Amino acid sequence: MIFKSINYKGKNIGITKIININIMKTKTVGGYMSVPQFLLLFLSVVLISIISPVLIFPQFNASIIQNSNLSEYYKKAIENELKNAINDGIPENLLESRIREGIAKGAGGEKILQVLVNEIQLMKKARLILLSIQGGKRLLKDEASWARTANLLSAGISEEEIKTIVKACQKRWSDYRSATYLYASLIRWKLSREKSLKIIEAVLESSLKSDDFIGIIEILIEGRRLRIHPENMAERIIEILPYIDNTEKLKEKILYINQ
Amino acid sequence: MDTLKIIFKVLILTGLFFTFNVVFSIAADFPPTIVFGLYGTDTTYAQMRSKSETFGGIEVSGLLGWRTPTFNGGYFSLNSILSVFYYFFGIEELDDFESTSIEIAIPLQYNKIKIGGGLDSSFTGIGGYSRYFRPYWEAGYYSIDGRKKVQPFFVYRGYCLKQPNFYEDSIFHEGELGINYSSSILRRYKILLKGGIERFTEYPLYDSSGDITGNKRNDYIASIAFEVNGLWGYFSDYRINVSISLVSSNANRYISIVNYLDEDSESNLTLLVESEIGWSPDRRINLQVSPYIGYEFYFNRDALDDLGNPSGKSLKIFTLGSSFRADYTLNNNFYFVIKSTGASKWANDPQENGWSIILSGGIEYAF
Repeated sequence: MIFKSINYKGKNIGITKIININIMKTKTVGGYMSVPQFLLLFLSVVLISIISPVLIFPQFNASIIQNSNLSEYYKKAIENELKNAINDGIPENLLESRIREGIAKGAGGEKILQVLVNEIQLMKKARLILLSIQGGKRLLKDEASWARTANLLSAGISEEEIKTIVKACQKRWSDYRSATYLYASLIRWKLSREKSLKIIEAVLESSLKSDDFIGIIEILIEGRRLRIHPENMAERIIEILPYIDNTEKLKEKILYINQ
Repeated sequence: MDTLKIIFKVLILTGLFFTFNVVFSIAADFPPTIVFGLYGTDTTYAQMRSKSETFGGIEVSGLLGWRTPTFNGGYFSLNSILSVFYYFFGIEELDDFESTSIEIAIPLQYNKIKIGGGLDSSFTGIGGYSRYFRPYWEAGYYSIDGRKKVQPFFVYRGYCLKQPNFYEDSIFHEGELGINYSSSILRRYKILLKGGIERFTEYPLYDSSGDITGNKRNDYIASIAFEVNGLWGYFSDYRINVSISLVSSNANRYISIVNYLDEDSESNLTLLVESEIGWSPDRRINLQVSPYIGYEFYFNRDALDDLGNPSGKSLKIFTLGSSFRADYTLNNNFYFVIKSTGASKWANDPQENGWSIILSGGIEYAF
């Protein structure tokens, strides 16, 4: 400990203790750090420790998990899964909605964790699929398309089917999501997957705008009301699509009555 | 014996209809759709305040529909329907209905001409109406420029109604001016203005003594309609049509029991709201409901009281009705079908009150 006299305008006004500088020195590359440098480093570490949870877990998200009724075990488990996924490059906002939904519905911690883990797996698989196809990176850069691909997997649509749709979108990347909604609706309506994929390929080759894709289902339903076999209707749609630019013209050419 | 002769004639006609249509469509790009149906049918009705009556029987129907694109980007279509009803419960009666129509569309760059025509007929009568033949025709000019949301069109149509056993034979001509507006595929709008004239060749017009004059009945009809149709999600569609029609007619009627000439008996204003909702969640199921409401106000026609005397009030009729169809199929060839039609009329004239319900259930087979 060093004591030093304090002089002010030539008068001795007291003494003060000076902290042993040697203790405060830290060894850095190239030598020891000075006190100001150390203090700056210390303050930076403290600041980063405070800010980083906010950066990694924005305030509202962290508070949603922390303020929930989940047990501490599941709160920590969910936060860890989320942190690992974000570190793995999965956009946080795509996973956060699942957590919010689970908490809002009052689901248990195990269920929310299970759903989150499952969603992360789907996002990773979707990423692999999109990266395996030429041009798929473009879709990966669009978070909505990435999430949509994961949704298709969760709906039971196979990797091969997704690859076929992605390949068909080579000239119309912006219509990928509309095409997937149409495909999901076609197979939900119980049209065969083979025919549904052929329709998607034909639609994406045609001049039909993405807003009009929903009209394809409308035409299939109108054909079914007229007792035209859906597989037959699908073939008619595929045959005539190259020659039209809207669904009204398509209807006129392939339905025997204009409803 | 007469019934058997009629059945034989109808069967011959059926055979000719379908032979002609099938032969004509054999070379088509798209094969024709042929549907045969067999249903049990029951009709219950009541008129005025009388007790309800029921009759039932079977319905046999056939349908052929065919459309083919033409080399110039248009299309040609042909449709035929034949239905035969044999009622043996409650009454014994044979009814039939036939309809054949053709339509040709000729594109003209951003517009289109459609020409069509056909024949509706019934040899034995149907639904309480006597036998009739009604050839009809239509020609229209449509804007089909897909780049534009507003697409006008103009249509001329007409028909000639011939009823050998009734006096309402007529010739009808109508012009229709309309605009289609598609804000999106989910919602489409249509506005229609129509004007027409119907000339009756045998309708009796009376003088104040109740004698038939030599004058002819002429009806002038004007209407305006507004329609919205579109999609509700991927598997439902809808249509709502609101129309107001004005009929100006020189028809009259003579109420003999009170020696009263009811002049201008058919001029009326009608408000009609029709709707259709369809739902097909998957290819096996189809549901369609079509409710409607109508209100007719007759300007000068007297509402009659319970004794048949003029009440001094103008006739007003409120109608509520609907039709329904549900069908289910496992393979899109064989269908199980339930359908019904019902309507009820309430009026300030007991003779106009009544209701009816037709229920049918059966099977259809589509080729």
